[in-house]
Amino acid sequence: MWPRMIEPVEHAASIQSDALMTSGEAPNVTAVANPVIRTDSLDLGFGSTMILEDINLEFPRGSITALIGPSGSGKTTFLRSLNRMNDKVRGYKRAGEVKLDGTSIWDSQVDLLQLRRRVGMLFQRPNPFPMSIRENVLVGVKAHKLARKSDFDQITETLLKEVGLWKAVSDRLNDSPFRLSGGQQQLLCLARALAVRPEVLLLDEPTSALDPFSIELVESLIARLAPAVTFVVVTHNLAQAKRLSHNTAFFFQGRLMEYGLTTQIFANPQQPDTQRYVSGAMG
Amino acid sequence: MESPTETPSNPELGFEHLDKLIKGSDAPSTASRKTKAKLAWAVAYLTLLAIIFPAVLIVGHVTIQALPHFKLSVLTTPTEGLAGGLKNEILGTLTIVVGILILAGTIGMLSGLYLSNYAPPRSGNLLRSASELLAGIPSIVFGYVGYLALAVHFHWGFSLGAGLITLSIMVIPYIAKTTEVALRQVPSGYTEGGEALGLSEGYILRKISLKSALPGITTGLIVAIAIAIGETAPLLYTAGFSAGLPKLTITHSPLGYLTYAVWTFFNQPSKSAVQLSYDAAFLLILGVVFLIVLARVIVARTQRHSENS
Ligand SMILES: Nc1ncnc2c1ncn2[C@@H]1O[C@H](COP(=O)(O)OP(=O)(O)OP(=O)(O)O)[C@@H](O)[C@H]1O
Ligand SMILES: [Mg+2]
Repeated sequence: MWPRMIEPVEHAASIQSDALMTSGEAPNVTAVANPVIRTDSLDLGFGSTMILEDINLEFPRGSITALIGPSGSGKTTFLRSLNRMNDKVRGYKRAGEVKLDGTSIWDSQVDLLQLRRRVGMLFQRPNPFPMSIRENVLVGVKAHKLARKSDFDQITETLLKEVGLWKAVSDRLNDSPFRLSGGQQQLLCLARALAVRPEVLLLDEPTSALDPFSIELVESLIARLAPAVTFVVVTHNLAQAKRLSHNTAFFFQGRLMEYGLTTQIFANPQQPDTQRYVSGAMG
Repeated sequence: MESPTETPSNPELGFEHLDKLIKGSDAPSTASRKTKAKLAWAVAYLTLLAIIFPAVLIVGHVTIQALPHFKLSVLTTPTEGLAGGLKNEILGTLTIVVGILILAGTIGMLSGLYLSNYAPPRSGNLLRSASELLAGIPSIVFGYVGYLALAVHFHWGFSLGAGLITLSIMVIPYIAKTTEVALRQVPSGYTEGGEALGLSEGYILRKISLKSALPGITTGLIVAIAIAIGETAPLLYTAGFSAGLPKLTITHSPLGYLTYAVWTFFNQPSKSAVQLSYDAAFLLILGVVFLIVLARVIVARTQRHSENS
């Protein structure tokens, strides 16, 4: 049912571990051989519609991976599958595997709540909870019982400093988060996500609702956190993918068209479609 | 390779074609738009008047009739024949309010929660239809069925239990509906955000969804209580009447309630009885006003951090 694509020249993973070794930005090199997340011939669909077919990807620990591709190419569907956010969606169908540290995320032994604590997510639209700024930061810590009450103040301060919000909100921690600007709300959501010490953060167009200044803030934050946290970022902003990511995956017409080092994908793509997309010819 | 976007190949689909379909110049003039806006406002004010006028009329009439002769002893003396006070009716109505909150509140809110978050489409629709059917049945029918089933068949007699169950069945649909609607309106960003953090379903519900749905749920509860304390017919059949203070047993415990006084004493020839009737109506209105204020306070206190505050 899918137009037959030219197969990627090499298995993406092998391109990537070699390349990362030589890349100056390479994170924790020893971990590359041990990807934090990998997908094995993952097929995704809704009802009888196949959205993505045979996706094989590895995300090295501590790396930043950009997922790019035209609207409707299945980036969100793929991303949400990585922490099982699609499981309850009506009609959702999957085949193949997603493995976190070698264990299937759908394994019956896996605790869904723990999985999501380890693999967090940031959404396109900032979505603070209807509780004070402080409570927003702490909600995950409290729910997972990750700290003692006496440490809550310090945790709040540390996290808000980490995302660069502390100065702006230190005197209104008990106020509503909805009076913050959109960019500040997104930073707050990032602080909330970081509070549960995730190993992986899935970001779905995290900066598309933000101004250039806030975008820079979020990007530098991601870059700084990257060795400790593995990031998978869906973005329509090619410049952002280029600036921010170590690796780039290009989704096109139901397939993973190409996956490799970001520098490679942008400077020397192997597929004509990738070439057309990254050069902006595809719109 | 096919292009993922389509380019219009048919010139008929160009802007010239659209211009024929969408008439820019023939759009209604500013003047006629302004007239229409004025008309809409006029209708809006009229409907507002249609609500406010009867409310003011009723509240005003009852207050004028009751207040000048209102004696505080009405609150502290029970009814004796066609005179005395309303102590037993006041306590009876309060008992009913608490009972309804516990019985109908619990069942209604749980039903709403089930309908909004868990019900598979089929059983959800079945439950919703049944609930709408219940809401459409006249209250006197509830009273009569309650009387036959509980008071007579189960030999409960006129009783608090029969009254509460009958009223509860009447108001549960309101509570379920408002709870369901309020929970459905919780932004999906809240629940998804919570799930993405690994919060449990119960935690998300308690700390996020219920809080955000609280204004709606509170409104439903208030309406339900207002209906319950304002009903007369179902209670006449099931709770009967007693001049004594309410007994807190399920069966064989007839009790007084304010609407009984309003309804029964108003038709009596004695002046003191009519006065008691107005006093009871006045107290009922005060009660409803109190409920409305209480709801506002609860909502204001819990929505300090809401998106639209
Ligand atoms: N819940 C759903 N039910 C049915 N189809 C869906 C559902 N969610 C997404 N789809 C379909 O799956 C396809 C991929 O959608 P997806 O949101 O993953 O694309 P995307 O690459 O994220 O696009 P965008 O860049 O516009 O966000 C689309 O055709 C969409 O219509
Ligand atoms: Mg998307």
